[in-house]
Amino acid sequence: MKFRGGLIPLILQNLSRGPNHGYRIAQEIKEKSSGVLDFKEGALYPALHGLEGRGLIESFTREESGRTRCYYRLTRKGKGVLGKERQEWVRFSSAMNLIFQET
Amino acid sequence: MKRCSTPGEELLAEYIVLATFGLVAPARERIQMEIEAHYAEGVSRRLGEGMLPEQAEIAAAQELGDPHAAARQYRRRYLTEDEASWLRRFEGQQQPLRLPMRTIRWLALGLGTVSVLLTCFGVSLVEPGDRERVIAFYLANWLGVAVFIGAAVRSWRWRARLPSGPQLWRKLLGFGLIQFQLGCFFCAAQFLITFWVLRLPNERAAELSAGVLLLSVLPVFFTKRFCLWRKLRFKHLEAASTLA
Repeated sequence: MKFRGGLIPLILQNLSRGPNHGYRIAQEIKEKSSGVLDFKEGALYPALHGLEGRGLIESFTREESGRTRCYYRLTRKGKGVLGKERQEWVRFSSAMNLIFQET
Repeated sequence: MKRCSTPGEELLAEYIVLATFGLVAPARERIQMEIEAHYAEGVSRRLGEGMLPEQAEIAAAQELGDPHAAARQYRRRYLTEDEASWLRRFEGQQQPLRLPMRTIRWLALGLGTVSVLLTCFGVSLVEPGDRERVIAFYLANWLGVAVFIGAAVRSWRWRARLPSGPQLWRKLLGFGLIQFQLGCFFCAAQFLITFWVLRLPNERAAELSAGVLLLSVLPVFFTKRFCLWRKLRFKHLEAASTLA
């Protein structure tokens, strides 16, 4: 499913529960959305790098079973942005629901 | 180059080449590390689900998605080799200009004095009947030159006030300002040559100057710098965009 602009709050929400790496972020989003939201590598990592650039998340590396993994965690700024994104999403979805209930 | 022993690894290698094509080496390395880890995670998850190793590898490689779409995304965020080489060339060209530009600041007062003296000299040579018109003519144009010099000095001072640091975007902004100053000086010189050598009327000279400024400086100044600034403003990407 194409879901433009929605990946960023989803990543922030996922990282609000603790540090995570790219693959697990994608898998958890996919599982929680029952397979509807399936992000490929080409969308996920550029989005993660962009969020890192904006200072909303930060990365660190960790050795896991002989492989270097890049983990991401939410920053304080990221927490603030997530709160705003949540509020906006609730307002937006309730407005959309009101419109669709008409038909 | 790493040898690929399985079809899954071949697909992965092909994906990495296509997705990171043309990017600078540090960016390529970072992206490659993440893609490989992503792939390995996908393979081990599938093996845990009971899939055969070869099938698991192929499925994990296919799960990565379209490498061309990924390449487009990465090229928006990271410097390409072409851009890096352009920056290196640009940096090399701008370096010798720093000192002359700095000295211009100190020369501004002298240039101003000379310009006033030259104006007085020019006016003294004119016939008495035309004097008023010619005074206005000279003054208007010297005012233009003074504005150009003033703008250049001002922008140089502004650049000097920028916090120093290794950040590329700051360097870029500084070099952009130098280039803009050069554009201003070029424009001023062209303005004077048009007057004195070609003897064109005032309006025509102004049009030519404005045209030269717009055609030669502004498009280059804005487009190239904007594209690069979008990439370089991300602090963490500097490591991956560092010029060799």
